[in-house]
Amino acid sequence: MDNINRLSIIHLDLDAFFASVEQRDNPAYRDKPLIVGGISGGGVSNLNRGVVCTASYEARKYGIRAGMPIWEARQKCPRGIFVPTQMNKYLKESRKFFQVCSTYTPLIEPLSVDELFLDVSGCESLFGSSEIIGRKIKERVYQELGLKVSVGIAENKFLAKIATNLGKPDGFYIIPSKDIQKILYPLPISALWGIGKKTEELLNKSGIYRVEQLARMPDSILENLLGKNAKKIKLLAQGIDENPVTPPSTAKSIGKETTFSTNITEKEILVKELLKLSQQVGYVARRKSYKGRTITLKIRFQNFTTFNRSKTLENPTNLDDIIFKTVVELLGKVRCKKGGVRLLGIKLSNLASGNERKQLKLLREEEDKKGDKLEQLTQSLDKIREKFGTKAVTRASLLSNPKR
Amino acid sequence: MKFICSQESLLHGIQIVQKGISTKIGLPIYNGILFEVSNDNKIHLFATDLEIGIDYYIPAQVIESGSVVIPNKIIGELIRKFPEGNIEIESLENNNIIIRENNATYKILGFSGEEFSNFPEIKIKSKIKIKQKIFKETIYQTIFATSKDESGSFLSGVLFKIINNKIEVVATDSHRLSYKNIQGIKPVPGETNIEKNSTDEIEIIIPYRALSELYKLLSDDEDVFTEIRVGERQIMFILYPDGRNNIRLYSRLIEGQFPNYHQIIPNSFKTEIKVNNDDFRDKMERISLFVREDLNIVKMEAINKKENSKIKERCEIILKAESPSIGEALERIPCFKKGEDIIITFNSKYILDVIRVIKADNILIKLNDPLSPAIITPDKDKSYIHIIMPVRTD
Repeated sequence: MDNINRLSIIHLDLDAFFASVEQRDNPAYRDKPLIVGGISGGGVSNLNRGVVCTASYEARKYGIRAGMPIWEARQKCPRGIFVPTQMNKYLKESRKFFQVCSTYTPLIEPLSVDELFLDVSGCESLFGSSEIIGRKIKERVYQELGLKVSVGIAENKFLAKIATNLGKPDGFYIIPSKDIQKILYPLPISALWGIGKKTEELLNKSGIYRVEQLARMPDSILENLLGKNAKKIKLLAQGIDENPVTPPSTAKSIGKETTFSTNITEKEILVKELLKLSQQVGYVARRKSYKGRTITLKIRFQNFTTFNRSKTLENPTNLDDIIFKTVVELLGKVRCKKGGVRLLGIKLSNLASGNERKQLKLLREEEDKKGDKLEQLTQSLDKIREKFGTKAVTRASLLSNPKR
Repeated sequence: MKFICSQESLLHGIQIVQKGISTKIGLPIYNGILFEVSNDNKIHLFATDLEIGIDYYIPAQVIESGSVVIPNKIIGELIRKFPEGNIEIESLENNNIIIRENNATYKILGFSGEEFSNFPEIKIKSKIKIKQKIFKETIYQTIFATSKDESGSFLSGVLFKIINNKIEVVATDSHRLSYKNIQGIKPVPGETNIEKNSTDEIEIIIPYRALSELYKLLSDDEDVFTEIRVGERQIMFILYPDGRNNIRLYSRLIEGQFPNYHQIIPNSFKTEIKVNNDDFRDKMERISLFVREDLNIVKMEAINKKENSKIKERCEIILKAESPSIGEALERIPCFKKGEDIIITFNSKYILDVIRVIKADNILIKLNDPLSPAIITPDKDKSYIHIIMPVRTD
């Protein structure tokens, strides 16, 4: 009984997620080799240029794997059904899946859209053992989403994930603590985290094929082979993983600051620096799809007195121009001290994620229309920077003066 | 300058004019009240922050004329602490002020009265008279919808549009809009809500601050009027224009073009809900404890049940709120509903703001869809309309 209670980590993985959603929604696809992939939104005509995102279990029998080029998949399975991805649809299902899981514990660590860890220690008195919780989630996901989920339960994250893989598809697999060696030792070394193709080849050359061999190998020899990672890998091979289930931390603020090499007295230079910082803060916020309502300017003078001035906007933003306009306004409120400025910083806080909620307006003023355009412009600039590097487009004022 | 007056009337006068003072102004002299004494046994009190100004006269026994500015905070506190009876105030040459009461003597450092600004002369374009009670209620029902931003745009003021025999009063912060229509301008003095001296159409935007101070000064008495004198860039309100002790308040006007609000007010609706105001307000206040911190989100559902009762329109509003840091909440409020079912999300603060200023027993909530403006009005009073934009949730 004691052993059972220690099995508090549950790993859940939706089986052939994208393909299963499509098969659920289109009866014609069921029990047939279905390949979801291609360029998102590119339609079927673009399918050939993409890669496989998910293959149904029927398609996997033909040797089709995620990441394979579509043309290769077509060669392997000419009669397969190829459909483009519909990411929004999958994300919606993913959210429902997370919601089901979150009714049992707040300790959830997402790995991807279709995979997560739960730590249910302490929840047993509410919902029953991890086995009961695992069964309940599996049943609910099937009933509420119409999807199959594989469940693995063990005493740590690593073993729980191993359990899921052993049970797949539609699996429910528990690794009791007493059976760890029995189950883990015969597995190929590639089952361990941190052993990729290259490491596997390297170890194979030394005659190491199974987990048991790693688990029993003296530290010094293993260190020679694997370097720094040796210890971690050996522990995993022994079934030991002490990483806790960690829910994703939500950012409280996004900030950047600059310390000048010489103290700055010219306002023009300060403003230019603020523009640079605004762009950096805005970019990070957009990448993480956060918007913030409060913008803070931090300014430190030569004598180390530091001022923080902030302003809270009506609607959250992540646009460079709005951040910049606000900090310049805030800069105007700081009485500059003799000796110049040592440090400037910008912080965006009071964060809300993404676009999801917005107080609508009755009056669409010129400024709002400008705001929409600004948003589009910023998005285009971000795309260019992602493609060609951060310096591909920049403000004229941020270019260093051309030398004559 | 030297005079004697009663503690009571001095305190009364100070409390009226000190509403004109704003701590935001950086000049110390304007944190004071101007005392001007001429020989007609009246003391003129005046305070201003240069945006608005309030003046008032109190009766006194004048011994020597002159003027001085006395710091507001200390004079107000001091006079309040004196017992009823006579107080003597005298200014010395260096603007020191001596205050005597029975055996007490206080000296306050003041400022020269000559350096203080004057109550402005306003060149009057139009003059109207309106019942204070109606004016007060109008301010109460509109002023909260102004924008709190201090840029001085038209959003931070209230529009008064005076056309023929009515005044339209409108305030908006661009998320919501309050509209009040004051009817009944008649030429007979004393028997009307409003008197007006010309047929000109007047459109002015009065700053929030002027109206909020005015609100505190206006009376609930049915029979008293206030006179409004509209100038080019300024406006003046004279409370109790017929009495001798009148209060005057002036303010600058906000320049700018108010948007066409008639375009914004929808006039057809897919859903119309009638609900008891007190019930709705109590439950909205309660559920507001559970709103999400930033946009105060409350979801409102009005859906007819299939197994409906005998009265076809009987329905209920369901309010839902959730806060990640607190928990979840649900309220049910019986209502009558005509038209389609709806689920819509609001900022609960906007809803509370308006239902708190409607005195009617029942309110009407008129809706079209989750992204379109909602209207809240008193059940039977067509003179007041409030519009709120919902919150978009995806």
